Amino acid sequence: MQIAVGARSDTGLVRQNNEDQYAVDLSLNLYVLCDGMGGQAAGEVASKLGVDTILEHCRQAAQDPALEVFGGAKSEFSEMTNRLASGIRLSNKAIHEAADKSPTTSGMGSTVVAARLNGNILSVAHVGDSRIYLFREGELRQLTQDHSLVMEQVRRGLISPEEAEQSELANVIMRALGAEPTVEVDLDEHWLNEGDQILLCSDGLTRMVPDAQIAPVLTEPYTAQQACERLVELANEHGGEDNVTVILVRLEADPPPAWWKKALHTVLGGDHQWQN
Amino acid sequence: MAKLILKFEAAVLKEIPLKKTSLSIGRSPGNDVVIDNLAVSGHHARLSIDEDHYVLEDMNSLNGTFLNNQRIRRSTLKDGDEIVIGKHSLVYREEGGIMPRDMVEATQPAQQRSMDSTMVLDTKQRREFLAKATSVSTGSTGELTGEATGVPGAGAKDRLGCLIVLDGKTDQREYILTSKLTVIGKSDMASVKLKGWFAPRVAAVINRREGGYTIAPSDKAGAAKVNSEVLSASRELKEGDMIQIGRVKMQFNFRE
Repeated sequence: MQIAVGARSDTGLVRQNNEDQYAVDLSLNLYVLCDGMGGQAAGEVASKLGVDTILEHCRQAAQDPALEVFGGAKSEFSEMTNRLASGIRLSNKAIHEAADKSPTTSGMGSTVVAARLNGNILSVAHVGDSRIYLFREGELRQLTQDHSLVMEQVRRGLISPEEAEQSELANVIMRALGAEPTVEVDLDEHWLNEGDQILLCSDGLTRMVPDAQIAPVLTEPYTAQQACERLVELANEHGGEDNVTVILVRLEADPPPAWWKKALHTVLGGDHQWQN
Repeated sequence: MAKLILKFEAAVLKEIPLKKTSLSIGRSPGNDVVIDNLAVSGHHARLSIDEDHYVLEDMNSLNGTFLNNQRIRRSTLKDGDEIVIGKHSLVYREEGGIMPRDMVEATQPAQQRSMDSTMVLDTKQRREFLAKATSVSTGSTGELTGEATGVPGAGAKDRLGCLIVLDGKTDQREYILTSKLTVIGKSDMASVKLKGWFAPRVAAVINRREGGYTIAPSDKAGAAKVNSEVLSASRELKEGDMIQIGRVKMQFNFRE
């Protein structure tokens, strides 16, 4: 199995600056996306600090596996998932402290979605209303639940998902990096198969382009990078009211082995069909 | 509702009702209150609600923000205060008190919110808002932490499952399924380790979800059977289900 990654970030058509920030680390199979908020340039500061802190923490941990897990490890999750959570809690602290230092950055914050692949196991962590989707067998499934007021109302059955999309309160989120001294990070793990695609995106995509129009892009014979560019284009075609950032991770089949490898495989055996 | 009265010398230019929790003042067109005068910085000052009053803040403007003839960085506003920015003045009037923050948000006109910058509720606001939002329709004031994904560990319905090995070679006789994801196979990632030459790398994966468990086949479907049926798609595990992989037989149970 091999991994193909594409990524694209765009200011959109309305905003002056891009407060989204992302990072892809191919050696760690780590993907992070932050959507900053706050007046002036503070949103950019927050999202950059968020991405950088998470990346640095995971890189350090790769060198030194004994590195402390900030905020404590949860036993039901793997080391890798706990590491992701640790990095996010650190980034929350960093943003919160930086916000307090200067009046221009006071009140700044950021969302985060982060994913990491360890073989077939995908670790997922998030805070805020950026999203991670799994595209499997033609179906787009949201792996994260927005920490937004309207989605909370939907979960409580107070309003319908359609009403949520129209709601005036769509921009109110319940959790963000930097908002408070500590943050609760939602974690999850999924087993991925060959052919699966993982999409990380900021709300600039999902509030402009309905899921039903995202899915077809992922089935087109685009490369991962072309698919990302097409998604950004779609967001802008729909108005481009916000910054839009997407990262697409594809689990692709290995290229077919050379004939002599096949022959060798047949002779020496290997991954045989397991007899029941 | 509180308001600002924008004046130039003695002339009243307009009245601005304070409908938002935060309001920017400056020369750039993106501001809530635009004052088109060269003495005014692009983003000059900001008004925001703190608890139950508005706070005026200078945004590092070049020519400063003055409150009752004193240059300020940040100051609380009270009824009748006069803010001077360049040659313009803004009189702050608090009539009938300012609106609580959540009400302000809820009554914001639609065109203002559409893609307005995102805002976060802090814990206290979150509790208050949700209590209000939920009490109306459901009368519940219970858990209001915004917890959503059902992290296992708490609640009566989060029963722990376990696998008991009845036959075949594995590294343990019993596995308690505390993890979110349990991999069965020969792979390094597997926590239920199968032994033997021809054991599949990954035969199946068990997911722990909201108090229950589901089992799904790996890439190479057909390696696992549940109750003698070949596992071809994800299915829920029920008390007593028999999982068979090659010669390994395991029974799924919930722990008492």
